[in-house]
Amino acid sequence: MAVPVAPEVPVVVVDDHRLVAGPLVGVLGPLLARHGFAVRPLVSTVSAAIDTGPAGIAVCDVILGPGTSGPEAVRALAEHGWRVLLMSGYAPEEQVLDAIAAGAAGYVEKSEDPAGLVAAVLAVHDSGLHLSAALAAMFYADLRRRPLPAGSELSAGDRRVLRAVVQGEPPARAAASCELTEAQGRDAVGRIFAAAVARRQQYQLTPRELDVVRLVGCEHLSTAEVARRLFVSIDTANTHLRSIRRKYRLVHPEAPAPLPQRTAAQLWARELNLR
Amino acid sequence: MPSAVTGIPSITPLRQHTVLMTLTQRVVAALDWSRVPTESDAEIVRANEQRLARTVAYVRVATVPFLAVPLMEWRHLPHPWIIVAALLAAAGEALWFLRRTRRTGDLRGDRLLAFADAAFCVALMVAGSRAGLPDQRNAVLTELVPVSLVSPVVLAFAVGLRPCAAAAILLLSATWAASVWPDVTQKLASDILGFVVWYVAGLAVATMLRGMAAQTAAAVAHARRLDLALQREGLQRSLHDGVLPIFDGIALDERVGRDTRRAARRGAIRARALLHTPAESDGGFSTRVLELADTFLDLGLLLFPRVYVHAEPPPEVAGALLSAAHEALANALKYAGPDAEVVLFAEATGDGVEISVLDNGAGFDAAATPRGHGHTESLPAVEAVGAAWSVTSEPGKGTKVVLRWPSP
Repeated sequence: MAVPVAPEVPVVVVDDHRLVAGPLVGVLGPLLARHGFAVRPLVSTVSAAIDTGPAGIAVCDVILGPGTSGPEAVRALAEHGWRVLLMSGYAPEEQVLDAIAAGAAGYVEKSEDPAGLVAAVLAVHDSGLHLSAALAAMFYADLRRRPLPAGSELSAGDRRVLRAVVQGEPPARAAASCELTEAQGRDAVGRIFAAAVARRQQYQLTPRELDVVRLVGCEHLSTAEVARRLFVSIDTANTHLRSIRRKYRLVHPEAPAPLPQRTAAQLWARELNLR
Repeated sequence: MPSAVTGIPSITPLRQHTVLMTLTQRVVAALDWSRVPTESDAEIVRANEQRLARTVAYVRVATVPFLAVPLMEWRHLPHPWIIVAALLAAAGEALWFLRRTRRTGDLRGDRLLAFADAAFCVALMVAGSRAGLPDQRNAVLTELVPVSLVSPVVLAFAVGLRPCAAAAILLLSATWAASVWPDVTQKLASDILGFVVWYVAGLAVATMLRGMAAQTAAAVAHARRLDLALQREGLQRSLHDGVLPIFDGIALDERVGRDTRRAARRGAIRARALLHTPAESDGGFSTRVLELADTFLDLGLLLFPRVYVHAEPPPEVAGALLSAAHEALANALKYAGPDAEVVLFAEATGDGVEISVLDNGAGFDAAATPRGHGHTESLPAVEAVGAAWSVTSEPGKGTKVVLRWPSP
């Protein structure tokens, strides 16, 4: 067995699906205890997780029904010193990637077998990051969708590592198959995460633009109504809408040429799973 | 009829904009049938066209009785029988017009109807004017005005803004002037202006109504697609919020047996794959890879498809590589063991195609196994299309099959 880490590192599962999370905590408890982690009782909100005591590693569902969720949840937990491993039964890619950009250390699917979940928690503890195959697959798709300017884009070598993980090799083996040492592999994973975060930040909607997207896409308000609601002029609302469309087109070059601004906002709302 | 946007109503959110047009495009589309973006079931556009055709046909019929008015001057006309003949001919033509538009229900593009109608009006003017003496022609022709003015409207509705239609308007005006001659008064100018104005008004009305119908059809189609998309989204949501957690929960629950947990995990993976499957099949490489994955998911393989298609590979390459991938997946199912997870990776770009099948199962001793390990039939076919393959394995460490085709 691995050498226990001292003192015990707290782990808390934040999930409002008791059906899964109950058994999950039951399985993870003894498995993680062997590695020196103390799994706390299940909580269903971010604030409840913060209230459990000193910070450690939070295994947090991407979509939480009550309270903060997604990127906001990651930020709230990180503010209190938690490292966040995202977990989901099924989450929209955009939301997962935004949560990673907010500082999450990794993402796993709930269908991963318990050993895989333990490995993920260990990786987050040891290196601060965990690149699962599911997350690598999202990074790999985003790589083409949101290219970074030359110079800050991933090197061919790092791409090879990412690709090997997408193909199903665990990160350590992916590094080995790319003829890298374990340390070099860890550095590559670090750069892969950094690039993914930069990619999101480059095209991320501003909070104001998100307000506009929410009002147009979810509340179906007209541009004039949006302007009134946000206390801005119609011109300003239109400027936001233009910027929203510009970013949408950057991320979706396949979108048809006459893409109305408001439609772009509606598409963003769907893609970001806003309600 | 040709359509700019053909095919199945799509429920992907992106395609919903194909029917949105700029103002200029809309005007051009309204004037040119072939450019109207019809939906596959443009019921609204068709019904609108039918109403337009009927309206014009009724007006054509309603103007015929005006030709009876000169008969009141029977005793003063040198050739009253010409008027009787004109009345009968006009009634016949109007009947033909009505029946034809009822049958086709479609005025647009019916050049035969428009030009036959214009030619009939020309003949009517020439012949009708001969019923009176030279100084009576203005009076006789006045009763021909309603019948004749319908023709520019028909031209506008059926032919649109076209040189041939404009030429027909010119011909109508010129014939009118010649028929009135020598009984020319100031009224001639208003008559000729009438032809032009009715033509322009016809164009404007047709443009407006057709544009409106096209927009309505687009909006209805959009709403239908959105509805479908929402339905699908709702189904997906209930699948991942309601069903997946149950499978995931059982898969982790240590109180149930190992086989049950394994089956639950299979169910969860199958459901996740379903959630990722696109709504419609386009028959492309990406769809074929996903279909291949579906086949093995159905057979119980713990399979994770990862598909990145940015360019369509040549069909023979796609065929050979997919057959080999099929064989690799079949081997994984047979030899890798019940808990082995398999990743099917497929990437197609302008540079080439790569498919890999990697499992974390039993593996085998590559040195002790014949070349290809079970890939007896498909690998020669892979080589035949110019692709390379490799099979690497080690006992206990899984198997990796890579198929790579570099674009020439």
